[in-house]
Formats: sequence, structure tokens, C-alpha cells
Amino acid sequence: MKTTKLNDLTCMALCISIGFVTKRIVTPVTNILTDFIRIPGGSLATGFSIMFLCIGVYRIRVFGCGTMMGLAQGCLALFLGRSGPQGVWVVITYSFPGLVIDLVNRYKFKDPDNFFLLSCAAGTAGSAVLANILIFRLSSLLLALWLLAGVISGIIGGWLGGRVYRYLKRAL
Amino acid sequence: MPCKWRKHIRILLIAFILILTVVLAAVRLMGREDAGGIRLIQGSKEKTVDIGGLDQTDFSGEMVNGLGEVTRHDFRGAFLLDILHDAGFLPEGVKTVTVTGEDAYKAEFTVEEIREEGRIWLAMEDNGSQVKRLNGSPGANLIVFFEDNSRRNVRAVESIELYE
Repeated sequence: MKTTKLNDLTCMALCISIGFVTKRIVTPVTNILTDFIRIPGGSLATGFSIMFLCIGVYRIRVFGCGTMMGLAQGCLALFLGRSGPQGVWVVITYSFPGLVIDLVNRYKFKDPDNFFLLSCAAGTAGSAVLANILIFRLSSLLLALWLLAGVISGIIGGWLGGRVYRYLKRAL
Repeated sequence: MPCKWRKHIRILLIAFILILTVVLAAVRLMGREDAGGIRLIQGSKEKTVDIGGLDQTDFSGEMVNGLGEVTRHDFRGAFLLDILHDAGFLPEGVKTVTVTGEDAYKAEFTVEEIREEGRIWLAMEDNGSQVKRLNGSPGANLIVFFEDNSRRNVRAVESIELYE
């Protein structure tokens, strides 16, 4: 494993904390929509959190850093009592999208926008699938809506992540 | 493949996902039957209980949220075991009970927990405010006492399923 520099670690810490806080801020807004169509809230806001993991992974380019950032977010959620219905599983449900992003990052994308869109959508969808298996156990129509909400959240998060990365590239 | 076509494929894929989501959401909303009560299900046996027709009593207790904050609540509602008995759903032979809210949130209990005196209630009023469903109709929240947090409380209960 490549030795990471101090600014890489700082970037990771920023992405972890901003991603964690962003989801808390966005969730009440997205819950308006999920409550309306009566699906569990959360999946529609996850993309806004995962986009910062994507930024961190794209910036640092070390396999495993996405998983570690997700794990750190999960531990934050657990220790701050923000685990919601997931309980101790929150550590797994936060780490898994980080692992998905790491795996997507193994493929070299010519266009960074494609990386952000695909990794964020895949990470959010993976998180939704895992949360369903572990906790919600939805079926058929509800499950399809839950997954699609995750994918849409991931697409929006990925698009935003690409834009944010471009603006912050010099600073990062 | 030329870059222009790749961009079109990306846009088409996103549009397809959005359209599919809207269609499924419309199906979900149109297919929703608002019985205005709580469905009790045990195998092939099913019954809808009218919330307004339940014998209600006052009860109160402390709730602990995910942050460890304790709040005191005065409720008006009914003991869950009494509701099941009155509806003819006896817990004999039942091992688990799953309560589902209108947002598809589920909480699972053992039959021993259901039988535990003063533990699991359906609350139609919370601190003087009527519990309402998302569409504004009267609802009931599942309240579980003697827990470390409120994780198994269910908002706007839609169905209660008993498993043997």
C-alpha cells in the first residue's frame, strides 16, 4: 500500500465528516418525498453522503480508502447515536458502499464524470440492497422503488460530486 | 463508440430510470388501499380493526431516543395484547409478531414480549395530540416501553402479522 501524505489523510477526514453531516441535513427534505410514496426514508439521501466518498477515492486513488472512509462514517454514526433502525449494522451498511466505490475505481475511466456517476449510483444501490437484506426486507414494488430511489440519489450525488471535485481539485 | 453517442446513452439511461421510478411510484400510490384501520394477519386469516372503535385508556411512560435523550409522554390508546384478543387473534401457537408502519418500517417481537404486562401499546394520542397518518386520517403509533431506545417504535401502524 502506498504511503499516504498528510493532505491525503486530511482530505479523507474532510470527506468523511462532510459526507456524514450532509446526509443529516438532506434527509428531512428527502423524507418529504419518501413519506409521500410511503417507502422507508434514507435511500434518497444516501447519494449526497456517498458523493464525498467518491471525491475522496478519486482524489487519493488507493484501493481500500473508500472502505475505510465508509467504516469511519459508520463508526461516527454508531458512537453519536445516529444509527437509526440499523443499530450496530450501521458500520456494515456504511462500509459496503465504500467497498463498491473502491471496486469501481479499479477500472480506469477516461471521463471522471462517468466514474462519479457510476460509483455513486452503484454505492448507493449497494447500500440500499444491503439495508434491505439486513433490516427492511421489503419485497416486489416497495423494493424496486427503494432501489430506484437509491440509484437516483446516486446519480444526483455523482453529478454533484463531479462538479464539486472540479472546483476543489486545486485545493485538494 | 463516439463520445457524442456515449453522452446520449448516459442521458437515455438516466431518463429511463427516472421514468421507471415515476411509473412505479404512481402504481404504488394508486394501488394503496386506505382501509382507515389496522390489518391483523395470521396465516390466511385477516381482519381490519377500526382505530376509532378500540377501547382506549390513558397510559404514560418514558421514551429514550437514539441520542439517549429521555422524554416523558402521556398517551391514550390500547394495550396491543388486548387488541389482538378482542379481534379474535390469540397468541397461542404464535412465535413472532411483526408490526409494519405505513412507511414500510417493520419491528419484530416475540410473543413473550407481546404478553409482557404494560410493555407494548398502540397509542392514538401522544401528549394530547392525535396521531395521524400521512394522509391526515387518524392513526396509531406502536409504543414499546422498557427498551434502551425507541428503535422498535413504529409510526402509523398499518398492519400486524402473527407468525407461528
